[in-house]
Amino acid sequence: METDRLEEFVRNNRRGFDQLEPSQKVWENISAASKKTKTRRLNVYLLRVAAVFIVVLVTSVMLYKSTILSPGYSEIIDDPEMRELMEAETFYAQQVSGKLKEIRKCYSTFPELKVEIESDLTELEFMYNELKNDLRENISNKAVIEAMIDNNRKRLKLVDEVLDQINC
Amino acid sequence: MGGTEHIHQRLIEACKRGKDKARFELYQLYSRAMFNVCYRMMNNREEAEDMLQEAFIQAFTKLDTFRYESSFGAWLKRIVINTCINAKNKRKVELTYSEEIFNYDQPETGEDEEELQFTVAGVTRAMELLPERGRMVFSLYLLEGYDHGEIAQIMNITESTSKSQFMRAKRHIVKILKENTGGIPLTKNKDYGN
Repeated sequence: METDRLEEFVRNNRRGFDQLEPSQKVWENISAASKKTKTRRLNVYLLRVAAVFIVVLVTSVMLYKSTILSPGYSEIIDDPEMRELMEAETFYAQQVSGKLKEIRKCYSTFPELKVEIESDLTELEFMYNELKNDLRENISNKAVIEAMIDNNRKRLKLVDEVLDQINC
Repeated sequence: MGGTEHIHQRLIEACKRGKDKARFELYQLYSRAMFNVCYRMMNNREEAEDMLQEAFIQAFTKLDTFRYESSFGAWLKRIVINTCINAKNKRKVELTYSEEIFNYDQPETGEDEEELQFTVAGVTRAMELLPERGRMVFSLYLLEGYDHGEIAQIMNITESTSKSQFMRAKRHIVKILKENTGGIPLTKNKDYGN
């Protein structure tokens, strides 16, 4: 049958049927259109980045408001005793960490020092955190604050004494 | 379907990242074959170029959805054909009317069949003279390699319609070739002759 021969002929010469070539302008148009979508994509990307930034900003502002500016916290700042405590805390913390740095330099000469001083300091810190919790629960404010400052002083005294004893 | 089907994976990935050079390379690899698909569907050079352009833009836009489940060529060809079918469907009136112009249900004479020599140019020309649906089914089946089930889905017709359209188209091409050449090939091209 001729129709079967036709079918066979087309199958055998499949490649020959792709003779035409598209003109140059087709690619030019595709390329131009793809560039448009690319810039749109870039814009979408920038928008996403901006959205994430805004979300982060809003959350941090809200967090700031809810913690730092919460009634409890503003009370602390308003209360002169509390303010004093906070200042003291920063002062002692700086002193202790500065002196601890000096002491740490001597660990190689006095290895046993490390265990002793650091365990003492950890213990004091643990006590301090307990006091902080008490303060948050409003247990006898004045006494607690005094205990806290005392705790800080003890830590400074500890590192001072150690520094005096070792001379390296 | 072997390992060759992901032969352009690197190139495709570069295109996904929006690399212009990779896009051009992919276009160069497939544009000719796809343009011929478009031409056979549209039967018009200018429309075929429009379709090619639209299909490639679409392919680049949704390249992210290409997951190497089929070959890239098959994926792209499907986009190309759908683009053409959609464009044709917009002008459906022409499509249905063209069916009635030709009466190609005549039985084959079949006596002087040894006379007919097929050539690519002759068959191509005859295809251009076929009614729309017949031409589409003929090229989808024989040249683009779809089976009648797939063609039925693509063209939104039944499988048996696809089969009968294909039979008619074949007969019609033979008839056109005979009428136009009187048994002599339209273009004498010994490379393609049987």
